[in-house]
Amino acid sequence: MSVLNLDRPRPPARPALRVPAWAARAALAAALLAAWQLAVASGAAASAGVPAPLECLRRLPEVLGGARFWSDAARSLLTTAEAFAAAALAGLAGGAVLARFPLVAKILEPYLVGAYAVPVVVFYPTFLVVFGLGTVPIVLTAFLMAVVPVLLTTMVALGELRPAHRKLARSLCCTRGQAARLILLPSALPLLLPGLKLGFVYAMAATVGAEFIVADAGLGFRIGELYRNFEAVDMYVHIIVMIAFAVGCNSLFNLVERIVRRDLT
Amino acid sequence: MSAPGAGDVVMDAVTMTYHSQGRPTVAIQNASGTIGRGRFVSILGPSGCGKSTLLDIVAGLTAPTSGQVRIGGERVTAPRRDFAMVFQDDSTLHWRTVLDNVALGLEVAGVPKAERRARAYDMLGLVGLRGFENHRPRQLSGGMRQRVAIARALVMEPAMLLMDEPFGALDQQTRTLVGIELLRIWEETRTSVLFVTHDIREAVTLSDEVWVMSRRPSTILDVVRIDLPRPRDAEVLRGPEFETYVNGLWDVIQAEVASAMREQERAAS
Ligand SMILES: Nc1ncnc2c1ncn2[C@@H]1O[C@H](COP(=O)(O)OP(=O)(O)O)[C@@H](O)[C@H]1O
Ligand SMILES: [Mg+2]
Repeated sequence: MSVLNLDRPRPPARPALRVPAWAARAALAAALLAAWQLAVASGAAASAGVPAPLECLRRLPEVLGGARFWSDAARSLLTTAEAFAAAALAGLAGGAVLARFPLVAKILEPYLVGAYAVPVVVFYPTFLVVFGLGTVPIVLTAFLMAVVPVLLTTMVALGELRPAHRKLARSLCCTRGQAARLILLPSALPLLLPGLKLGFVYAMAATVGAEFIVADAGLGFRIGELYRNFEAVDMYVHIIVMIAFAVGCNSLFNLVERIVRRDLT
Repeated sequence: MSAPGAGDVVMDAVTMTYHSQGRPTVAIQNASGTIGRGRFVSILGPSGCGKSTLLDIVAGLTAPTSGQVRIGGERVTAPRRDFAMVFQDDSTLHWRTVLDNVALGLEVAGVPKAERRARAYDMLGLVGLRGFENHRPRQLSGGMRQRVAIARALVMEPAMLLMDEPFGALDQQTRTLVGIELLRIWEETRTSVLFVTHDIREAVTLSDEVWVMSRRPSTILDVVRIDLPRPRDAEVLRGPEFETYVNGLWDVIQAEVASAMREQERAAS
């Protein structure tokens, strides 16, 4: 090596991890479950009324085998999907309009940022009064929760288009459609996708939350009902499956993100 | 002066006034000149004097307040397919491969995929990026990315290449090397070039003509023909004639700076 090496010194090589990351993660999950099992078996968790994980596991096939579980799950997922679809459309369109008219965006910005902080669920009772018990007030609540992050990130994503890219589009005589398809959207995607992902998470949280308060079906409603009936084991089974759903949806989004954002590969 | 030829780009009394905060700023006043077909013309001037503005006007991106730009007698009022631009800032698209970056303009123009890829591939050879077709811009150095931008412009076979301080973001060594590379490429294509720079040596190295811009309200202060032989090899660039041109341009700019300072002093006292 030359004395004039101006490169930064390399950090000392770490010893290679012998266990793959996924195996370590699985081991961590198993350890947590074991700790949970031990805590219940030793009586330490008695006051919380938490059932042992093995008990939940034994009950799991029965719950999953029942038609009621699946109709609840379908109801919650459909509600979430409707709210999310509406929020994605409205958020992308609204964000695009605001990015196009910076003056309007500047006037509205404090309200939009403020809306971010509002727990929209407090309006759920109002929607219940107006629309009655059913999916409409839940979709509306979840939509309002989800639309704000989508709209804000869209506005920022489109607003941050590099001036050189803007000039490039014009100098190449791009049509509006070409500019959007070839330059604007791909350059905005790194921010758009996380915004959409956040919107989905909000939609799901709001749906389950609203169902938990007042509803006639859905996973959130069922968990509340099981809680009120002291059916702890079934309640935890529902909770575990719901967590699995949420994580699954999130992984799906990450997969889409990897496919769409080819530049990451 | 002879009558303008078919491929000549003529700037005729171009004036540009910006209105910011209610006050007019005359960025360019009565700038005129002709870029002969196949000539390499540099606009040399201090930063803020209106070089980018003038280039954008020639490109049809900005409409002048008065005056006009014509090519072959036809007025330029909007961006044109036969003009291609290279910008100072990196304008490569980081999500596209190098090959697809070079093919971008052809794609916009509706050239079929197989043809545009073949043309882009050939152009990568010309700018010395063969073997990098499937790289992403982020995997390349700044100088290589600018060569991608140059290839993207040249693949359109433009009648006029407009370059706005294309090497301004590069370090001095890379800048010199990419400049020499540009000369080699240009000698093969012989497109008309309008090249903006604030670097005197760069202007002399590259150009057939250097247009010196004054400070605001700017106009073309002086047109200096650089009659150095081509190719501009090391011998030419180290020769006494080269230095004579550089010193001559220095004198023009220094006189301008001196008069600006005198004016400021007068205004201050
Ligand atoms: N869109 C604009 N609005 C108002 N003033 C501008 C605008 N663009 C440029 N100017 C002004 O015009 C002058 C010339 O700018 P520019 O052409 O970018 O100079 P250069 O490229 O030589 O550095 C500068 O004083 C700048 O502040
Ligand atoms: Mg400039």
